Amino acid sequence: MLKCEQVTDMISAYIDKELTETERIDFEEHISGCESCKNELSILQSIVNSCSQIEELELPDNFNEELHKKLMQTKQDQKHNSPPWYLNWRMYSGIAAGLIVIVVLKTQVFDYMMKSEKAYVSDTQLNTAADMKPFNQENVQDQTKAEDTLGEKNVLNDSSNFSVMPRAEETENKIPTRKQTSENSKKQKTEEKIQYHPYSEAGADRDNEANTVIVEERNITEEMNSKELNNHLVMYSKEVESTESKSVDEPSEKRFMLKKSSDSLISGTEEYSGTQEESETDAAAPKAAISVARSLMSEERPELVHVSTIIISENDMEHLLNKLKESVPDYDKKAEDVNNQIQLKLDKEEYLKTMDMISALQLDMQIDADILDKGNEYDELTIRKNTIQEQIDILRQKEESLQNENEIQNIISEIEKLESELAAIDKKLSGLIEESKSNIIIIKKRTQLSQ
Amino acid sequence: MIDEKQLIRQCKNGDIQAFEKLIEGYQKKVYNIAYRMLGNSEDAFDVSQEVFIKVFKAIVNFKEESSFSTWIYRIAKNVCLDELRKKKKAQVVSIHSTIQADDSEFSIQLEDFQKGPEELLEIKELKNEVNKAINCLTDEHKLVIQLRDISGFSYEEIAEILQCSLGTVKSRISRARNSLKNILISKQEHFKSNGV
Repeated sequence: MLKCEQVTDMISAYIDKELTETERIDFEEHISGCESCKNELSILQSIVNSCSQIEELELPDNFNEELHKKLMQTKQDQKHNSPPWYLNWRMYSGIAAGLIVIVVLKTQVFDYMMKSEKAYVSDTQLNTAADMKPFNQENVQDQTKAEDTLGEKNVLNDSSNFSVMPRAEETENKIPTRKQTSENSKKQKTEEKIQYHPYSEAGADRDNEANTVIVEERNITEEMNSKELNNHLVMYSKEVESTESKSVDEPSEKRFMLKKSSDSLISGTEEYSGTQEESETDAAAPKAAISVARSLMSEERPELVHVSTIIISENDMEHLLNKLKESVPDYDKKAEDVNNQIQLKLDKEEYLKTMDMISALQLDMQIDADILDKGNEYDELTIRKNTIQEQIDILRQKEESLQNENEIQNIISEIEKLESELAAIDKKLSGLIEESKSNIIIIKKRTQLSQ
Repeated sequence: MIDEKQLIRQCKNGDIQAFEKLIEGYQKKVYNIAYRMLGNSEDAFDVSQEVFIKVFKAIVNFKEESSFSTWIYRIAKNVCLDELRKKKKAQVVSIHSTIQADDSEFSIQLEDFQKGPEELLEIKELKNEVNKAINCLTDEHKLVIQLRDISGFSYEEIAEILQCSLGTVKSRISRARNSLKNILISKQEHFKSNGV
């Protein structure tokens, strides 16, 4: 004999004649002897009857007319631009990154150029410097080759190469002592953390490093007139140098304090702290822009999309899983259910194939899902990292102009805080890079219509 | 009647006329689902137009693994839920608008239910009350009641549209109807005693 609780659960199916024969017999047997269940049945039955009497609304008069217009429009649009559907998930982040780069470079580099032109165009010394140090095409090519062979290692070294450009000044033999020490300590640190420094391994000299940035920048903004850019960048190096030379002669204890705090800094932004002119903030701007551009556009970046999270509506979960079971060989071995989310560990080829399939399903409206890849997270972190580095630069500059011991101490502790944040970001970034090698697809249920 | 498969093939080549013929039988149901989910005719109009545009765009990729009818309703469901999600994001939740209780959502429009119990005896009246009460259900329950009890889809069809198992459909319909009953009871205490 069924319990009332069980019977209540069956009422709905009974009304729809969806019970099996034995279920129905048991159900009716219970109902005949149970008033409250009988009552329940009659209430639900009348509700269902009422529902079925609700008339469906007629289509509005202009519905077909409007739809026809829209269909014509859609067809026309499709003719004009039909992007291949697979661009959907792979390319959008790249396009977005590209836009950021262009905007940042356009505003910051050009802004900087305009300023530097105003400030230095009459400087005859500058012209001589530019002549003395023309853009060396051969060097560039060598460097490009060296970079190519280094391949993926650049991923990890990205953080250590941000400020390569200002090192150009060192070729002018005006290296302040502090700079050298901090440079060394920085290098040491970097080498401890990251065992293969591309430049130390390749033995490229610093002159080349300066050119590296130029090469990269040319890659990024192809539409830029490269000759013009080169000239500006030479000017830029010159500018840093000339402002630096003003402060070189004033050795100060403060700087050594600064050096201590900068030891934990992974990327060598401290070179800038030597300058005290307005030009320093200007100088930091293109540097940040370049580093953002480098990290967003660099060759290694696409690898990072190899961890994707599919957030899928509960209703479609089963459908997706069935599809995956069909298409992924040895699905059961590769899938793991962790905390209600499914982790699918694949090889690279399978990953790409599966992601293609999932985005096709999504486009086909067979599943209602959002596809997120780790690339976005990487870009966000990189941008955050660069912002912090800029903040540190500004604080360092401020610190040098201060006299009061307490104030200096405050700034140093602030810098230290930022630096530890920076280290945390670096850790996350290398974690992401590590993770990205694993070709993982994570499938999560979307919380139903969560507010 | 022209074969649906033939029409679909023509649609894949971008034939608008064939498309319009193909969707003829589905428009009213899609519009009604949208109306039920979104609660007003303007939104229902826009959303159901969007559904058909999406279907038109996506028909190239329609693999004919499922029936065209359930595919179209599945798209309708997705577009509706998407629209609701967007709306909910934009909406500032007002204390007067909704109260969450267990798995049902009561809209506070008590005055609608302050009619005399005798009126509820009449099926016509009950139909109106039920109609209003459906709009107080959660989106998920609203959808399932619309599909099953108003549009009259079978359990199998609903399972395909919602892409879930028959068991899930069964229990969801049961829960939705119980919520509906609770809403009606909570709003009309005498509902039960008057034995409908």
